[in-house]
Amino acid sequence: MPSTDATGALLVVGGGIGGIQTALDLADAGFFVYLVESGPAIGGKMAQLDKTFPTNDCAMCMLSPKLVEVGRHPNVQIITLASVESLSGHPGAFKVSLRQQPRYIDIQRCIACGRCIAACVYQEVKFPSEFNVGLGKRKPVYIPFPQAVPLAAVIDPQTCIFFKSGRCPQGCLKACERQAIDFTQQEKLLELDVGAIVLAPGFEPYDARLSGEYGFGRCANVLTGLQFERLLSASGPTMGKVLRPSDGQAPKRIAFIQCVGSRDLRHQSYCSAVCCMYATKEAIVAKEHDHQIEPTIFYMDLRAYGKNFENLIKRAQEEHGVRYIRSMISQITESSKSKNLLVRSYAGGANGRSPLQEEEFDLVVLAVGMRPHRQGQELARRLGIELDEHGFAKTLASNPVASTREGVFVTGAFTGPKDIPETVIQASAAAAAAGKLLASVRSTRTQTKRYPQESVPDSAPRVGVFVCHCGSNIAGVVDVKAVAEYAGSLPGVVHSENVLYTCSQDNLKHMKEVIQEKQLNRVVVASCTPRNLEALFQDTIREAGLNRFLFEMVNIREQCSWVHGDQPERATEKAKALVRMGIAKARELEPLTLQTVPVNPNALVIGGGLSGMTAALTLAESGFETYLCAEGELSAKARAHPKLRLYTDATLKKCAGFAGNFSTTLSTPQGEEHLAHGVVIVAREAQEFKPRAYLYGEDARVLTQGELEQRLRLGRVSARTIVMIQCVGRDEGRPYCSRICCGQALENALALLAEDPSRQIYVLFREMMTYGLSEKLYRRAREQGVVFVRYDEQNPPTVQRESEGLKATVRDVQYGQELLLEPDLVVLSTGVAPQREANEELGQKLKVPLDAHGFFVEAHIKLRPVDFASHGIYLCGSAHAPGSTEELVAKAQAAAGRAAILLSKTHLEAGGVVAIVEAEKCTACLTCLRECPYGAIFINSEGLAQIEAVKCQGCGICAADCPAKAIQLRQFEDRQELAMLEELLDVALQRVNA
Amino acid sequence: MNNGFESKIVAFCCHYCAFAAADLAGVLRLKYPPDLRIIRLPCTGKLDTLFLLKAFEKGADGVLVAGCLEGSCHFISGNLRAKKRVLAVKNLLERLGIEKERLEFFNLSSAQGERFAQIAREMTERIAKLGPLRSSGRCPYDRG
Repeated sequence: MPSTDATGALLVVGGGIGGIQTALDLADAGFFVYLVESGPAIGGKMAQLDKTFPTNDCAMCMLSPKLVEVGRHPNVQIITLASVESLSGHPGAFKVSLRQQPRYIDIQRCIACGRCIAACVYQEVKFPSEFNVGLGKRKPVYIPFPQAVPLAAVIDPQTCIFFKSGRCPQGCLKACERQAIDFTQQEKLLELDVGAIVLAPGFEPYDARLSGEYGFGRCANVLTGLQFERLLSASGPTMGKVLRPSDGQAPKRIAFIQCVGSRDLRHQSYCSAVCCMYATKEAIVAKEHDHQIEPTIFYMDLRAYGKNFENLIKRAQEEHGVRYIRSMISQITESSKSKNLLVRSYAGGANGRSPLQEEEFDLVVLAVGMRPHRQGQELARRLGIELDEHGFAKTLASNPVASTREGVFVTGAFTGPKDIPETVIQASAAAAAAGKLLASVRSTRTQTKRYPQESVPDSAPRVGVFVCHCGSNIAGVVDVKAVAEYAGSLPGVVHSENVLYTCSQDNLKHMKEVIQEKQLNRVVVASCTPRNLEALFQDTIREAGLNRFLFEMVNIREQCSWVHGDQPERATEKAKALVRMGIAKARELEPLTLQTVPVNPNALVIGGGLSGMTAALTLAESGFETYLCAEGELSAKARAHPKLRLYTDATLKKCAGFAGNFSTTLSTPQGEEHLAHGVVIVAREAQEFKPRAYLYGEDARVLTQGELEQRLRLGRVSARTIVMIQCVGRDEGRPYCSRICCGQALENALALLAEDPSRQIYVLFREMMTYGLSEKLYRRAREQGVVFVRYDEQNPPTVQRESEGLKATVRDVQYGQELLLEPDLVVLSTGVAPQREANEELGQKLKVPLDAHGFFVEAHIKLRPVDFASHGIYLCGSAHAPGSTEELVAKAQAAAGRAAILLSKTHLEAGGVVAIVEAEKCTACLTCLRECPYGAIFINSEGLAQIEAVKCQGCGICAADCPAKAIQLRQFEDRQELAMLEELLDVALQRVNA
Repeated sequence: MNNGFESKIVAFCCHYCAFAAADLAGVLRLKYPPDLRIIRLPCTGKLDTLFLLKAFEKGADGVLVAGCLEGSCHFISGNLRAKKRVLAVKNLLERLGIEKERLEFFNLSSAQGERFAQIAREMTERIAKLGPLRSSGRCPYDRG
């Protein structure tokens, strides 16, 4: 427990997606967060990815809004180029010292215009770019990547001539119009008081040079998966064209080699868990870029164990013609002339084929595995936490985010190989666990800003226009003076001026003064993209007493000066048109008020299994009154907690309301129970599937793995020869991989052998899904003599009952032979299946979606894995997706953590950019109700459509679809958009001229 | 390239992908003709068919709608709704005697700055070939 001197601030180490998510969750839940990153920008490995499996979504599209959010969060301080030196104190009150390297650039002043880069003494890019994994080059002064946060240049003292020789004309210093460059910066030591620490140092790719047989580092056309990712990226070194490094030609035959550095006793014995999928993704994306490409994936076992992973493999094979070859690679050699690569593989000798194959390729991509980050090792040493034999942080299955030191939490790939959703889940889980520890000091270190009373514009529009030079970034191309003059001549404009840098602190102050002096009631800034600075300007006008929605931003940099530098006159004309459009919209803007809705701080958790119990206890221990609706008996050990109220054998009868304010009726054996609560967590479990095949239920010698596990616990297994059959029931309406059965089967097999090593165990399988660290089970089982026989799904094993006993047959794919086995016991791995009907019923009551198999569907597969799309409802449990104990616990903690964010607020703000219905026009045709992706629309007591502001996300789909034009999206209303359109097309101008 | 006239092309871009891709085109200093002007929408799902028609009524030579890649819409299904509407309006345009090629729907991700520039170039070229809207003969708005 934290002591009474606890502090409500935390340290998060690592600025990848895991660290970012942890920081955001904690900061949103009422804590102050120091986010420490060793590099010059946050974003981590995800920023380098082109797409993400299994949906092939664009990685940067998902990540970039998160980067901006964390960069602007009032309760997150990002500290780049820094590392942890030491830790003292105790949980709740730690003292951390950090060492920060100089950037030689003042982040506050730098606007990332790139002039220093252009002025560098190196005229050409010369040094390998870290972001492009060496495929692209950079100068000693560079911006890490276009979407970097903080968005500022950095000088690398290792390559900068000034630091190396002192003899440099320092063109950068002169070129910088903002005096942001400072060569005198020194290393800094920082001391921070924090209550807890979350470590998210992530992974580093395996160094493929250590596996000499693959030729990496020697052969020009052998790349790693991460390098290939950069080749595929539209903003990568080849602008998204797949080209060979040796000659810049488009390769046709591309080989992907799996398990490079993974499942290899010389290097890393574990499976890296993500490579099968990322190689498949890369193969598909490459093919989409260039149809000529023929991808081939050389693999040992194809591990597609996650939700919808198998569909991606199927698509790769059937739609994209990706060839999969099960084999092991013995050598890759380069042809000295063509630089093509000869891949020699061993594929077994089935079907009269020669076991050794050779094939030529134009490009080879090594699916290198994940290894624990070097910095993680160093951190562990300095912080005194224990690591496992591979160098991953040691954790317990019952608390997968707690390190061996109290108050220090670990998350993401630091605890073992993980994909993005697993990392995000763990990040939220770590935030929940750390937040729980510091629950008593929540909201003690965060700041809420106070604003003056907003004046309501009652007079005609008085628009103020600020046209930015952005140094020479805009002014170098666009005649900004002419633009400002022109703006001043437009109707409604009472003030127009040029500003050198609109975003500078002194100008923001000036803007506020002008607003008051000239009584402006609308503000237009013509500068850069609203995606970065709109929120800053909105905040500024709010400080001056204006409603923040009375602001419009015009982008004359990215959309004008930076893309039309070759046509300055037309660029100026366009800038004028864009400003005219912005002013026209500004004239039509209205103040929007946010309504505040009080939040009920209680939680409802549905499901009495491991996940439900974990989620409920996490919330109760974080100080929130929690109702646990256990449907039937509690299957996990119930722990009493004063804040936890248990309803056994209860079912949810109905649930109404929205985030912060739900009201629910439970049916319990004692009668109906009415509950008011702010959040719902669906934590149902799926059950072990009961098959109809293999004499199950007919013969007592045929069991499921779950049943065997129980018998083993009771010490009641006497069988000597045991046959285990994997993937049972996958043709009986359970077509997906259940992810846990292979591991469970091997754990049982090892337990059987531990009892009696002379037992003979056969495992008949399709693919061994012992992903990640569970590969260890597979290795140990083989070492201890378990016989593995791979069968083909077209040709499944059979089990017959004969007078002398059971007979099992299987056709071994590897050797093409039929095997006859005589087991005393047949154990079926049947996977898990959700209770579809019960889930459908619950889904309808809560208005949350299910997939075709009856699993609940999350809001976003990558970045919102435990949220439903509907605000205030969260999910975990195996009825979301199957998982190991450790994975389910993390997911339940994560759901509780996400829920705690909402519960920790006293009020929610609703409104602003939301859709509203004009009642007199509504014909209650229900179109909007059908099309709303968020279930925000309902028919009110007057029989008309009404939109719940709290649920509305502001997409405007309903507004566009309404046949009666009865819906408007605030801030994007028809008359506002029409005003812009007319100005764009000069209609208004023509009217004036005519 | 502009065939003697400066066309007016309206680009309705969604905030999360197409608008961000236009930003990236700027960051990468890619060049494209200035004929195209962007109107930002939260999502292409907000774009109503009437607005597409209004754009032509008020004299746009071309209109492009750019949303997220399919399956990646920030608002789940907005881009799919928009695509349907664009197809419907294309048919309407044809019946009005306006070349349906003047209207196009594009999917792109926020990382595709190069593709945004390419779309801008392609669309400008296409409109240049078609000429100004009012010269297209059968257009009922052609009062000249």
